Amino acid sequence: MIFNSVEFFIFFSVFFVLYWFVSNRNLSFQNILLLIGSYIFYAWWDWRFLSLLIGSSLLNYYLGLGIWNSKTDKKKKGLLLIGLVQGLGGLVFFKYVNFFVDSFVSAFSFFNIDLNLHAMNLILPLGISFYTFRTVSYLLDIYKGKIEPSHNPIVFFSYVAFFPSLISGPIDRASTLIPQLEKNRNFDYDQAVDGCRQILWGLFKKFVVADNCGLITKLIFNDYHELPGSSLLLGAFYYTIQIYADFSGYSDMAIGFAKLLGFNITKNFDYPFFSQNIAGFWRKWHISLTTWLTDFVFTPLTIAFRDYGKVGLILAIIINFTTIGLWHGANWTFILFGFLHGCYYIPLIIRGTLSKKNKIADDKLLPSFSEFIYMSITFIVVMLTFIVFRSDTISQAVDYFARMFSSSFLSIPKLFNKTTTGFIIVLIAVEWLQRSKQHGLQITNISKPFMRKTLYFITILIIFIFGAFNNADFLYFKF
Amino acid sequence: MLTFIKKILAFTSIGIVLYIACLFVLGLFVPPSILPNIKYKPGNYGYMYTRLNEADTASRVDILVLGASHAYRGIDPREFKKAGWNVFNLASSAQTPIQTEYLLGKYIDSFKPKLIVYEIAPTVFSNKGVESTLDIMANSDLNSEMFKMALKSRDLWVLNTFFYAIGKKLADGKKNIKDNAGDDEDAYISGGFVQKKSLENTSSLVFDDKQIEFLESQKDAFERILAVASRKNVQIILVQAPITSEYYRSIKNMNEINNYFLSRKANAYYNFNDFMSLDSKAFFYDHHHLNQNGVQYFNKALLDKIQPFLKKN
Repeated sequence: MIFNSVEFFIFFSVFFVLYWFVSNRNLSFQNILLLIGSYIFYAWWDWRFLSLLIGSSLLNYYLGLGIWNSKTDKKKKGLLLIGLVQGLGGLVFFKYVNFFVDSFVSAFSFFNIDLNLHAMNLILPLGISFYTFRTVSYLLDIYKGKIEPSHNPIVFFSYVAFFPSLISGPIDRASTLIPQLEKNRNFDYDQAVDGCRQILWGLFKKFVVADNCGLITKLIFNDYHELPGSSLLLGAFYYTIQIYADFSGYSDMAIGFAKLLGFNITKNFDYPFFSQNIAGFWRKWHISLTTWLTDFVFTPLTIAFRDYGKVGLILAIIINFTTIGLWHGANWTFILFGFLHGCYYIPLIIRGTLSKKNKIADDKLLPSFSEFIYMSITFIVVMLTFIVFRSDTISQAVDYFARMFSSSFLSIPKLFNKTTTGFIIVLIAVEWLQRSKQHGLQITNISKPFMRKTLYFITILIIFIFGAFNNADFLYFKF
Repeated sequence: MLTFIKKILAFTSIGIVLYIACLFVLGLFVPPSILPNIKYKPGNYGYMYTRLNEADTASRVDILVLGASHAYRGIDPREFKKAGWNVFNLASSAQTPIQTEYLLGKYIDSFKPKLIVYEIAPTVFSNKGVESTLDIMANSDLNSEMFKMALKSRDLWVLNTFFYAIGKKLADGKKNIKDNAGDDEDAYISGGFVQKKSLENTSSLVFDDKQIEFLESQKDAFERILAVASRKNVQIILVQAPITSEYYRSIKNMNEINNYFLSRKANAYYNFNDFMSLDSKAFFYDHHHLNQNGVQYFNKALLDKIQPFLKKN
């Protein structure tokens, strides 16, 4: 059951009525309903993995209480270690064990040693990367004394399984979501309307932009060795837009559905393509993951490497970004993707402009020439790494680059699609104009309701007439 | 909150009406080629426009043929005419039971057939029938039964195209449509048959094993087709036309499929793959369509099987 399916529409409609009407705004009833709804939502995909989600929640609930109540630091550390081993161990087992086995076998076969190890036939439980990061951060925050554990199991279990963001994030921290689960929620008309707008904008991004781009990128990346360099550049461009529109579209829908239930969850994207350097880009791209890793990987590393000056900082950033890459999946392409992004930071660190926050085209309609150039450069360098990200192997990525930067680079590209490109321009233009707002359709500045409703209707019309409905899955489901 | 729900419901209701109106207006003024989710292609493939025009003016026949491309490319009325039987082939590309039910309902009273030969290619039972619904929609007049068929498909392309087609047909009037002859390889033969000129089969004959799972909606439509034939006192014979032996062997649940058809309330079921052995290169033009030589062999064998049923009347 995915957001853009008829099943989910029916599920959510029934859930919405029960949640607001039948519950009579009773907090306990709402939370129980939220938990049951989340489990139904998850079990719809594969009920067998529900036990993993429940088991993980149960263990982490008691570990959280245990860490908080422990008198000695040693016991706290022990309990935290159990939580980390269970959470990250499960993640490693399902997501990375085959990768490590294959990599070892390949490495040893280089020296003519046959390890006789075989990869296991494992199914990656949906959303495991996302809910594991929730439980791990919960324990770490309790251990550091930043938050108190939840004493209400229904609240905690609902936090772990909160269905709007269970499958593909945003990765909400306990400090954001648990307080909202613990207090009475009243229906807020404006919040609900804005939730609907955000869902609609997410659907536009997903169906009209991402899935139409996906049709072309599939052709280009599958047959890249038959196409001229200019088409491969086009493929990289369409894929960069596809992954942004797909993932940020999903996040918009998740935030929108959460708003309809009275929650404000973490913003995951903040118009990343309007960034003037790579640091700006990562402050706006997959925000919930980058802040998580900043807190639990980057910051501890910078402390550990503080005696090594800029070299230490570079090392911390490269390890942090390689971890981001590895989080996406068990493939050297993801690791290289993260590593390259880490390397992009080196000039900023050397020049000392890492933490400089450039606000772009402040209150102006258009960016200045230099802002435009910096934005374009940032987009291009990010786009180049997405070739690695999209490729099946590093050698395929290298081959793609070699063919792209060949003599056919300046030829007329094949597979250029005017309609899709037109909608990409619409997406970029709308998001540029709305960059101070939470999403592209937050059109509260249009005072006339008729005008607002006409815009919603036009968006729906475009989705149903121009949307591509043959690729319903979201790219980030597999991560 | 009630205000919110009321407003959502009002917006949805008005939105649906406006959406349909917009599709109609697009049909009047905008060509379908620039609208990706509207698949309106009259005369696109398989001569459906010509076939349905002929069906609209045809009268009584002895045999009415239903089914998908195996039927309209495999059952040649000329072969049956030689034996003195009139045949009309109402089959069309990828026609599934849902569309067959619609076409049978529309034409059974005007054709008044003695016998229905229904070619039941198993693959169409696993198909939602979108391609075939769009084919019929673009090539015939629209009516309420067609709208019901469009609704059954639960497909955005079909529903969009239905409302677009209302406007488009109004805008185009009685414009003559020319069917696509498939690079001059196809020729329409009066009676609904399409003859492929090529006799050569150059397609690959290597296939992965597969299981064909029937959709419940198609099985339900199939039962209704049998019920219509029974109600109208028309004999119905189920037939599987020959396909290449390589392709046939790749379908691993054929026993189950045969048992399913044998257990239905039809007058007979003949799977010609079980008692005809045709060379895959000499009698086919691709992996599952007979060439004209194959058609002649198959039609002769089919005629032998159905003569007793025709002579009953």
